[in-house]
Amino acid sequence: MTSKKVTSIKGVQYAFMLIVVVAMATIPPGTAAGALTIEITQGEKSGIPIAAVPFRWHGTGNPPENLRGIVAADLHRSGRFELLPPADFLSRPSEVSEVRYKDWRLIKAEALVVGRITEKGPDRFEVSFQLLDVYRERVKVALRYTASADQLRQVAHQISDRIFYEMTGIKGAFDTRIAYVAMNITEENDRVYQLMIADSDGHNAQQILKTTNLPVLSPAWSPNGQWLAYVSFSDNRSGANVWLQDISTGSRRPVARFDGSASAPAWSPDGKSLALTVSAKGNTDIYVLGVSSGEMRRLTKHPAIDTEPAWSPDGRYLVFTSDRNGRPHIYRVSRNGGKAERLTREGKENAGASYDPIGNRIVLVTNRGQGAGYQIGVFYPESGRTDVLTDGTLDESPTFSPNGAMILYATRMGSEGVLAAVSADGRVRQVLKVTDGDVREPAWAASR
Amino acid sequence: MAWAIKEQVEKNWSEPGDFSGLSVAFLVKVDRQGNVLSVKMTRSSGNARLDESAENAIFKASPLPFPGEARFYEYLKEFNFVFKPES
Repeated sequence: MTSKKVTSIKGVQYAFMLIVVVAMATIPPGTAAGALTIEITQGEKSGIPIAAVPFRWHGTGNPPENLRGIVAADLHRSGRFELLPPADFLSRPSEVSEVRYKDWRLIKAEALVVGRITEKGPDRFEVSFQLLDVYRERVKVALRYTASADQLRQVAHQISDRIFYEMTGIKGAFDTRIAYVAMNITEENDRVYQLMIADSDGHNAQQILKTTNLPVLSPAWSPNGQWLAYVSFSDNRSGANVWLQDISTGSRRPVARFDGSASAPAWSPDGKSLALTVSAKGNTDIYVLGVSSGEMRRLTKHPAIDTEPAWSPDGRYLVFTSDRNGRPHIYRVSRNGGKAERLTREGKENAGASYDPIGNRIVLVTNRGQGAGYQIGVFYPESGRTDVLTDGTLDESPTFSPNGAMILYATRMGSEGVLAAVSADGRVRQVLKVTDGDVREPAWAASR
Repeated sequence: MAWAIKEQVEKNWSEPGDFSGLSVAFLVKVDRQGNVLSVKMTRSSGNARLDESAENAIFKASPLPFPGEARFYEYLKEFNFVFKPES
């Protein structure tokens, strides 16, 4: 966070002399000879200071959407930006010709976002925005969009994606979708389950399946974003099965018929296979199902419970949860089967693991023991270290954003389940505005 | 005061990502009050985002914490900053 501090004040002059001597003795290449060299190794982790000016409205009545608000919320939630408060702005430009860069250097903004929305006709709007480099006084990006009112939120997310990429070098993931399950209890005491899809910020929620007293669980997006696999029940008597639903047509089918029950679907990165948990004859193991062939292959064979499979991004491995050594922990197995290797050793329990898009990190639910409950952690397979990112007691179902910069998970607020997002470094956490009941089991789509 | 300058620049440097392993160097000229007069990149890291964020940090840190005594100015009117992010 902060730089390494010198503890001795009296030593400052000595330190200064020493640095001059050291600098003269070893002059790094590309630096001026004879001059003092100061080495900077650590910055602030508070995010890039950025000013986003409210977009100027050219039209009748009120603007149809608060674009600046959507963009600012996206950038803030990512943890990579510090949004400067509009109250501090000395001017309110809406395009580069109106910008006095000095105004923005005074409040130490490194980047500036300006824009406008213009009413072009009935339900037709033009949005223009510019991302400006305050210190080099130049335009980094200038874009224009035409959209109807109900497309404006998406335009705002696309603007956020563009800013995120320009400033960090990482592809933005704001213009993406999430799926989740919402549960409500009716006056007749029926439990109504809804499978929902929404924008990455929780807005524009849409129901794609509704069942009564038959739970819906574990939605999983196909890599191309066309299909959702999820767990559901045909009736009260048969066991759980995995269903496939086409997002655009709404048509759905069970993936296969099982003697026992199937759950916890996970798509292979090529979209051709689903890893599943199958419980049959008193044993619970991981299987791989060919989506079009219907062929089943058993991956683990252990009397303990093996569940919650997830693929590595290269498709060579699967991680899963197993209690084969007592408490649940994360194991890894080749996609061809064979011996499973235990990954997590820290903590009392670890479960619900899945990889980031690169394959360097695994997000999971961790229980550190001593009554700490369940939090979201990021596990580094190379070092064996786990960083705990959240501080709830019942945090669950973590899912990486498609760019690996954020994690969506389910948590409790009072008696209700809500969705929350945390930046992958754990610095910024925020509850998403989803208001359709008891909400859980989020899944973040890889593409829109 | 080299430490004070270092701290002030670090405080103003918002690392845009993990660039450990890269480094970028600047030659900086300042006036007697510590105001940054010019920043010249003497060696690029090869990554524009790191280069620009480091240059921003130097500008944002201006005026640098300088001693009042004139004799130090000879040492400090021109010096090198090397940004070498650690993970």
